[in-house]
Amino acid sequence: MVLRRKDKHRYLLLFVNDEISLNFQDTNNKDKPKSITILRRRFSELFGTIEFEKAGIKFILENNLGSRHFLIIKCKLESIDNMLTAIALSHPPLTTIKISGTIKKLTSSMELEMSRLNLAQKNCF
Amino acid sequence: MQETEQTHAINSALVLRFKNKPKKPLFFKYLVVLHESETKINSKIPFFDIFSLNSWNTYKIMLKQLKKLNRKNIGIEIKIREIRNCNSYEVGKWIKSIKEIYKFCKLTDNQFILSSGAETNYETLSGKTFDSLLKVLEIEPIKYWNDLEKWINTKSRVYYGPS
Repeated sequence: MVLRRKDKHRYLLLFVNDEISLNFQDTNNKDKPKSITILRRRFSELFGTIEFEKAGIKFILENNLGSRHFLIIKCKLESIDNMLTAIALSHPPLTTIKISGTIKKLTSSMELEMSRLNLAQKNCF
Repeated sequence: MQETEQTHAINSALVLRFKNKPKKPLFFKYLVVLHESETKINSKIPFFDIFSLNSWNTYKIMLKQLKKLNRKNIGIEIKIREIRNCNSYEVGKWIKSIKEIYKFCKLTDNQFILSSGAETNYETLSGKTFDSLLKVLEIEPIKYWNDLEKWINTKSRVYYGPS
């Protein structure tokens, strides 16, 4: 039996709506959105601190994200169910757009979502 | 209104929610939803397909009343939207109550329905998220979706016109 050296991870692309991004800014840590703090707290409260540490949740800072509406978080594959549950039960609501094994695939799908969003906004006015 | 292949495809994909049973036969699937807050359960209760539960402190009383009512094959709906703004202690209690509601549904031949309860696009949930939630609730996702599909097919009545 060969031990696998690396744990498998998944990247989650989350959408944060206008109301949340404007009203829920973290005053202590400007780099980290408040929604991430809420999500981490919800996860640790629901599944315990041990599961929280095992999940290895990380907020990915991407320079080319281009929009404050999108967030990328990384977690271990084995904790993906708990992570999705915490996202579904978080308030203010967060929407999971895509789950991917690589950040490259995720950013490409995010560009597609952004163009869709821009198109929808243009059609509104 | 004449039904074409296109309208038939759209109509079979959508299931509309109504508060009351429509008087005329319709070309699309529909379900009559009764909210817990809008009515009291007694023998004079009007026709409904789904009973939407929303208070977690009184769910045991509600289940007892539903058992007394003795209506088979109804759907008992739980909305995730209503638990989002609760604290984690209450979410834990909610998970425990859902397990009991699911057990009740199985014992009484009723259908358990887990719904996002979304009122905006931002509150919608993906299929994978539903599966994860069901796993946390100790419900097998494949079995749940199969049962729900069967239930919707038996419940939603469509008028296909005179043959």
